[in-house]
Amino acid sequence: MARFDPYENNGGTCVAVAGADYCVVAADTRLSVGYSILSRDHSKIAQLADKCVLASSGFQGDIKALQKNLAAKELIYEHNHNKKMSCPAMAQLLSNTLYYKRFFPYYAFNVLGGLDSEGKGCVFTYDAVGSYERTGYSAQGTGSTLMMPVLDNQLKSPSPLLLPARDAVTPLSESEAVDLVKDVFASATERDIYTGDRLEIVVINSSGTHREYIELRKD
Amino acid sequence: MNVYLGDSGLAGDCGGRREGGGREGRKKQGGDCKLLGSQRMHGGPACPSVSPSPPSSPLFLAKWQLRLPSLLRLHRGPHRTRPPFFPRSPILEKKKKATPPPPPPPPIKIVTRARRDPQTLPHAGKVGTLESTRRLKEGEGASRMFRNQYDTDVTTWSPQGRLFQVEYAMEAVKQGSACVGLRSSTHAVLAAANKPASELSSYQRKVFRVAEHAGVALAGLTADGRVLSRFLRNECINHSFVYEAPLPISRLALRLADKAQRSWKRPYGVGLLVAGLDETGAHLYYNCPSGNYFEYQAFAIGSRSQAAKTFLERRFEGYNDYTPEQLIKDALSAIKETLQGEKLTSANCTVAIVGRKDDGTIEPFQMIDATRIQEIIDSMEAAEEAPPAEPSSMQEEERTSDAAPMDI
Repeated sequence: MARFDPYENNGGTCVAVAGADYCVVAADTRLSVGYSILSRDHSKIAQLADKCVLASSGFQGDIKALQKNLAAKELIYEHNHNKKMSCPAMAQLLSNTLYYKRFFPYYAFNVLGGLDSEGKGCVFTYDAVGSYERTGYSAQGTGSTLMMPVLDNQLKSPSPLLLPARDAVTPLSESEAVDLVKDVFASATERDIYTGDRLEIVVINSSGTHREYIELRKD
Repeated sequence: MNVYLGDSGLAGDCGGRREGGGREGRKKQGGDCKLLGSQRMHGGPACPSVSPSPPSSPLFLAKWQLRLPSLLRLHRGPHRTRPPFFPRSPILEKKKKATPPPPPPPPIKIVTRARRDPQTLPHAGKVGTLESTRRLKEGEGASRMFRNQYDTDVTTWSPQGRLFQVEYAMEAVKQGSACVGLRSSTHAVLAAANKPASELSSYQRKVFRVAEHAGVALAGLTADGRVLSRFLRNECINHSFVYEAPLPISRLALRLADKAQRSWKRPYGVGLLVAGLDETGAHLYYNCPSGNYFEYQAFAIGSRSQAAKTFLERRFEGYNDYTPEQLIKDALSAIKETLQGEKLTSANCTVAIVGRKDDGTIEPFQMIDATRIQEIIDSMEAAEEAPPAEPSSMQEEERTSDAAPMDI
């Protein structure tokens, strides 16, 4: 007996890499369902605050609702505190918002990237119910299993147990990080059917937000 | 239900009658007294309802007569339950039957709260604005208190068809410091005079951003204004969440007006100038505590706002074509009128603007910073010091001197 399935996986992959004074957030623009492509030009990235960007893959209905929810909460914060939300504050808000729906979750695999209050790059990675962690880099989505090993190899931050404490952010420069992201997406596109078409790269640094588009394989 | 059982035939009857009539009781001095239980006999020495003296004793009457005045005070009517220590006298009862039944108690007077002398009320000097008091003052002197009968409750109408609580709320707006709003077809400006409560304190915030495209300036009870601003912010957020579009200003004003129609709450004692930009252009509304709202080209509220209104009345017809800089200048001039002699500085006033620039981009609602306001004030003063000319030529002068576009 067929039961209504409230969820659907629209595919796609999201990646974020944190640097000393920048953050790179990237996602492909393919929207699929099953073996079909719904759109080659659908953005998975949402700018929540001027130094905070959210990239999510999963069920697009839930992702849209989640992004709108966060944008409204951010506006309330602005009215109450007379300033825009910082990235760590937004990270906690996102975690709380996800856990709020613990028993009917947002089918969204999120990566939040931006600059913290000191201007250093930060990346927060989430599961579907809000468990989050600040890391130096992360990948979420259908191609994440193909990308994470490569990112680990290139960017693996020293263990937090190591003393003296060393930053998790990568020592790479901004352009090197962007190149790495492009390579990693190109590799995942080869083998993951849900990743491809076009890559949207957003770089956040002290001068603001910069957007770039790269073509990927369309098959 | 009568607790006491007794017999009217006996001296020292209790409040009610024991079933079975008086004969039974008259035969014996007591039966079982339900009040005291079977141990004590009704009519016996311990029964509180029985007087020790039998009715025929001459002393009996005298005692009752002595006690009569105080007892009569307690005894209000035939249907009231008597206190336990009040033994009923048959002679008294007969006397009572002879007298006519007492008149019904007078209707309960509507008791109002302690009435303040109208002269000490805050609107004492402005009593003439309320028609009813003028009539009453000229007429019956005794009915000066008349108006106060209808002003306790917001749900009470006066005989003249006024809701005084709402009118008093509108008086509260007139007590607040001045606020001015004006608009052109593309921009709307709000300005407020900053009046600190004392030399040591800072001034109350009077201009609030409600959404990217709208803001309010308020006069009156600032606390009420804050509550309303929070409400308006929520409304705008909810609307844009559902419709992915900014809330049009006329509907924003409508939501605010609807909020004034709560009969169980006191009216909000604040008047709001709602200014914003939507698809149809820039708009300015004034919402008063009564729930009325009107759209204006320019308006001023608060204390000494009449001076500003007079200033604006002379000039408003050209406002639709004004540039933003001119609007700001006029707003500052209007505020200057309300200051009445005090020097206008950037510390005295707050100015905010919202609009659509010539190239189509939106200028979101925000306060203009103090240094920029001071520059504008200085340029206004410099223009005034120039030899007096006709107002139209002075305006042209101002227009040509605005070389750079406004930098916000």
